[in-house]
Amino acid sequence: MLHGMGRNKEEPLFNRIEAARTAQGLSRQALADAVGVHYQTIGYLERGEYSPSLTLALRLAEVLGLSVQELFSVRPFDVER
Amino acid sequence: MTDTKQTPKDRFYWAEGVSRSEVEKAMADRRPSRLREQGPRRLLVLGLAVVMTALVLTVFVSQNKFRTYSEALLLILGLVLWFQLRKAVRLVSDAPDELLDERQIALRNAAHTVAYRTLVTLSVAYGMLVLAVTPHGLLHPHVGEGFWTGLAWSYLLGAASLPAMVLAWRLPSEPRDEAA
Repeated sequence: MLHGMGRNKEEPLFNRIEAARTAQGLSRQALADAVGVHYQTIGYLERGEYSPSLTLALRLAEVLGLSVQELFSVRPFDVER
Repeated sequence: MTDTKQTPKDRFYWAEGVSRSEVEKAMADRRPSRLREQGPRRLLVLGLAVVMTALVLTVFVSQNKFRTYSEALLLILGLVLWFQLRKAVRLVSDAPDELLDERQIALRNAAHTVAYRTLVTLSVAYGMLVLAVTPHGLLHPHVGEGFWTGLAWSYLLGAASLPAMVLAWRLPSEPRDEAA
């Protein structure tokens, strides 16, 4: 984790952004443009190195067609992803 | 970042010392560069720290002409390194909120906090040095006239470049093809 990057460094936030993005056939750049962030931020999110704000989480969920709970979790996701 | 699409007009941000087009260009730059790797970026930071230290040491040069030339040369070198550092961090250290996304704003703010703390420490050190080199100070016999210019340039260079130095030091190497 990069210092000062995460909102809560003690509690990791797991996500399946990459799986949802590739399922939709989107590049990181395309997803970044859709939610209004830099493409590197999508990379940081996918690697779990940055925890998004609630607003960004909601935007990501909307673009990827999932609920926030389906996209993010404080516990690791099961193998099904 | 979304604002950039709504207001395409270029604008110069005087307080930050950057223009909209300059930041957008830096953000969109995907050309492979050594500046995207942590090692070379840290070398730049160390280089700038060495230049700042060398500028301070010019107070001990007694020949006015040599000191002036040394200061000018070091200052130019310092400015070049500072601009390279800004480029290396894609201007995140200087850009205003409206040109950054939330992660970049968090990064920039964290770097500014560390830079401010460092600058306070440096201010005390420079202050003590100024006191030491004033006419009745400890180092007075060893310093030339007009000693303060090197110190002043070093301090100003540090004050301007510390956020970029902190950010360049902390950022990891950028993965390749991340936009794909």
